[in-house]
Amino acid sequence: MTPDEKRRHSDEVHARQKGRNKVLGFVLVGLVVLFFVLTFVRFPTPEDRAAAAAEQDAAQNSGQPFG
Amino acid sequence: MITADHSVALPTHWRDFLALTKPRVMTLVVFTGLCGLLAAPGSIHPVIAFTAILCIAVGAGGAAALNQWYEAEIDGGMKRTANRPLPAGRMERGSARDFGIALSAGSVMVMGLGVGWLAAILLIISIVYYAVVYTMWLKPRTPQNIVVGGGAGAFPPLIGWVAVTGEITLMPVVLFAIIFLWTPPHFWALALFVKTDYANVGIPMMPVVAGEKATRRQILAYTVILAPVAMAPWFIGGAGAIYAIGAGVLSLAFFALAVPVGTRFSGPDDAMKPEKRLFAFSILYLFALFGVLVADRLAANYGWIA
Repeated sequence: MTPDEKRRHSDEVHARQKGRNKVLGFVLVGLVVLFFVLTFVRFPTPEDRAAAAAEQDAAQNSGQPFG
Repeated sequence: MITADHSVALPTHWRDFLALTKPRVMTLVVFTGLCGLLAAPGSIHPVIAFTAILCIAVGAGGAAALNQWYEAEIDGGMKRTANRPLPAGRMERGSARDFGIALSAGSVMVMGLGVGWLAAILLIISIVYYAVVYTMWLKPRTPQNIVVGGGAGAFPPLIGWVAVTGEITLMPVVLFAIIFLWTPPHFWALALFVKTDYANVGIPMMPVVAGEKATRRQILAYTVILAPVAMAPWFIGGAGAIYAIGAGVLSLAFFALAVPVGTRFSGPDDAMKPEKRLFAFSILYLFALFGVLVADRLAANYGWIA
């Protein structure tokens, strides 16, 4: 391999590593955003918690197991 | 990696990792999964719907990577697949395996935590079905490989449906059955015009083992069976008139294209035009059938039809 070929090869290696790092970065940021949004969507609101508590109370008062 | 001339080999390009996921197959998987999700009764939060479709796509990509990891040598012997990243030498086998495992495990975990565990269980079954049952077990052993293996591609609408409803009912099972029965005529039409490729690498595809005549007869038989199953969503009350008309027209067209394939025999240097036409139409058929199902359900939701 001539010095010129070596330099071009090395540039290509760096270009590919950079490209992979960028794509991996986008994927990781995307996952962080997805998990963050999912947490909000799936996290129960105060109304949901109140409704669940009311359902549990009703089940206990009627003597039925809470399901 | 250090090569014999002590130079550092080029790292695999990210596009080769993408190619490993078979993006073109993924479009059909994503589309049918999305249709299952949109056709299901009930509502789903858009973020959870997006997550479900993303997991279906990534899971399919993981299964495809595992398929290419296992079949690297076979792919190298076939013209159609010789330029894939592994047979072309652009990627190490271990990388493909690890990538496939990471995508599969990641998609199942996110599906379970973000969408629901029944959908996640179905997703892992579909991945194992494709990567292990079909790729490792059935494909090299029996000419019926894609009949049973077709089940792997039939899971997405079922998973999409379950993501919304949280339960398996008759309708999503019918959607599963449609893709299951669609796969043999779709794949055997392809196998008829690439059969020398399969013969060269010892894969017992139907045209290689049972011959052209038997394959053509079975393409026709599965097309005939597919038609009433494609109409089944209407019979069981899961779809309305728009779907019934659409499915009827599409099934007639499928049958019309399958008849010449089922009744002819190829000569030397045959261009295999009817087989290529049937293969191309079969892809359009599935897109259109599921598209018309969603249109039908949206029309029903808006009260335009019963």
